[in-house]
Amino acid sequence: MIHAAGSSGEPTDQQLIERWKSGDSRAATQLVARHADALARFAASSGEREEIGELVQDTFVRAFGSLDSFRGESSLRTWLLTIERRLMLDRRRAEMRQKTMVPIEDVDAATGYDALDEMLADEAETMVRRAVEALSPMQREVFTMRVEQGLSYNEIAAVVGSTEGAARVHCHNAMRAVKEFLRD
Amino acid sequence: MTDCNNPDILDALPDLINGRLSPLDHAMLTEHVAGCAACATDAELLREIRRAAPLAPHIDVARIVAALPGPSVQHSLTSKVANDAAANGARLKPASLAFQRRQPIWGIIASVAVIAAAGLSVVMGKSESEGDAVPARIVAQAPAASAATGIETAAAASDPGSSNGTNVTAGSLPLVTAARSEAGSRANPAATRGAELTLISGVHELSDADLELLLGEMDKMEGIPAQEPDPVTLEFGNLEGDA
Repeated sequence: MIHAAGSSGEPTDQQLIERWKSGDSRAATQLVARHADALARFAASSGEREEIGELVQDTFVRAFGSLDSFRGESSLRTWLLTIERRLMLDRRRAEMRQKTMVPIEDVDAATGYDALDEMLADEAETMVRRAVEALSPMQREVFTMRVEQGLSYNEIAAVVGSTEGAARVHCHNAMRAVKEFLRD
Repeated sequence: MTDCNNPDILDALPDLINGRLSPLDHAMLTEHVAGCAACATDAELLREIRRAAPLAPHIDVARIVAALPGPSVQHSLTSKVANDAAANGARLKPASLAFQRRQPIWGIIASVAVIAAAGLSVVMGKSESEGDAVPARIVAQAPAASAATGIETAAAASDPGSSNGTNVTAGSLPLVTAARSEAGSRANPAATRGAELTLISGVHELSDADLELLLGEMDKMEGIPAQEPDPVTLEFGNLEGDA
């Protein structure tokens, strides 16, 4: 069995949390700087296009507001991703409710962000991205966390509220689906 | 092309491209990938997927940090207590820290209990005034604290000979003052049915000084009293009535 290695040298998340609790605000800066980009990437990969900065901020605000409930049983990254995922689900539910009131063409119109992405990305990247976007929501989440975030199956299972085995199966199925998409 | 038949290697490929392997595992896997066409293709595809990931906007760390809540008072106190204990060489039990965090909750619970008890006494008064037959004579003693606040305590003494046979002798609870003229009830038993418990004073009628005093008393209250509570005696009156 091959195990992923942990980083060393810098203070751990738990140490920074303790420092922040004792009043060291620089510890909060270090924690945010350490995890913000990963949260932004996860949001973007999960299909969020607007206000990712606000989403990441909300995630940190909520996390720091309830650090008492963080027992350190999972990694802080996993916990943050779990919070962010719930916020995204809340957002989508709210959007679904709004969709009933907004004309479809307004909702589905390509945003400037999408158009710019398409223009900048080369064809191969576009195809790969489409292959990932064609995955089921669960497959895409799991696959993104595994490939882009480098989370272990155990961590992914904690984020999505599933089992390690189920996460592994989703990931393998996603990889197979991506290959088939690119082959066709 | 067929997949590599080593599931451990397949599982570890994302860790390889994310640099999450130990130096030993990294070297071993790199060597395998160099000699396995299927794994090399998969590893390249995974790298491509990472490159093709949607662009994430720049995140303003300073703005997020500015929006974060500060460490709570409990955090600071807990840390201070823990630090002091550590400095003194004392071992602080986790349970005692947890209790310190929970203490403010008892104040809230006590407040809710007081309000609920007040509501209950009002309901009792109403039901009795409507002539409901409650076949019991309830005797409750007033907490000393309520007298100390200067708030009138309930003293509803009813005629044991009233027609419905139901009497609330004392339902003294903070915030609620129930009063009934015992003499009047004796003089006119019929009139007692309409005025058993009456709310004649509420929070809105208290002066600022009384409120502060009351809040002070409530702060002293504990969710779980240290002493046994005063007994509540249920005295059953004449169920059939004397009339």
